[in-house]
Amino acid sequence: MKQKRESLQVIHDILKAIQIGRTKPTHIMYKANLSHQMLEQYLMELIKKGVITETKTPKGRTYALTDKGLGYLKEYKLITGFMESYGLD
Amino acid sequence: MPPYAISQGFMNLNILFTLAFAVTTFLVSFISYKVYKLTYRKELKLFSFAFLSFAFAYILQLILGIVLKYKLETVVRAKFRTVVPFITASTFSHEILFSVGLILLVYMTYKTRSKQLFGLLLGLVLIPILFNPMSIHVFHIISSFMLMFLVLFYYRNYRAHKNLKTKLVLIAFVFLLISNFTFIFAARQGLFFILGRSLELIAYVCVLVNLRLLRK
Repeated sequence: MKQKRESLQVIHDILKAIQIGRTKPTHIMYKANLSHQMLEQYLMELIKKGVITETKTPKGRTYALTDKGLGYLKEYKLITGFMESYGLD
Repeated sequence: MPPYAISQGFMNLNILFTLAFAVTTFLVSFISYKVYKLTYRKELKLFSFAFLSFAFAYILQLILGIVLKYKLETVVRAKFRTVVPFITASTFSHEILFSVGLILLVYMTYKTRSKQLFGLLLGLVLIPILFNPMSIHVFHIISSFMLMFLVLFYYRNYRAHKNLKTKLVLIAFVFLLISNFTFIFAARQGLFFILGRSLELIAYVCVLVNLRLLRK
């Protein structure tokens, strides 16, 4: 139960880090306080769900939010509040 | 709404109550689906279906309420029997839809993905309702039983997260339980139906206040 709520929080932290613009993985890792392995797992999941996009450049990878990602950040309070209210967390 | 002996005045009010219940449950279903689309958590999709099932159940009650009111006002009692098959069919459909909604909620509280458990719950709840001539009583007894489980679940949830939002949901389900229990006696005394409906209204007001708090 606790693990799921934490994962929502982690996703929120990742998206918050990306919100500022095209962001490198090291910056996200630092902001979301995640290990490299965990970050890769979350990034893959978020790309698959269409929450973020990945761009590969000669300087490395960068990430940006999609509209869905922006929606997640905007509705984060509703998401956590709703899930907590009905015991869905 | 089964054809209980209730006053014409309350019949009008009852139509408004049912409309409010349908809108509220649809709203919960919609928000749940919206949250599901953002998080992809399967339980949110099930929760959305559960409340959508409630919404359709109330829409059926609403149609039945309107038909009953119209028929009672326009036809003589002798012709009332022409609407009996419709009353039976819509009451029955309401029972099935409401039960499916409750089954989905109870199933979710187990936090399992077992299809066998879901099938078992469906069978145990729907078979007695489908094959019992006193289906309306069986429906309210089984619904009350399921609501008891849900009240326990939401009590535990409130203990885990003590705040106004979880308290409102707990209160809502307590009132739904009491109202459902009251409906068991409504066939004998119309007053119980009025009491049950009023308690149901309090339950959905709590749900609406909770939704309002989530938007703040």
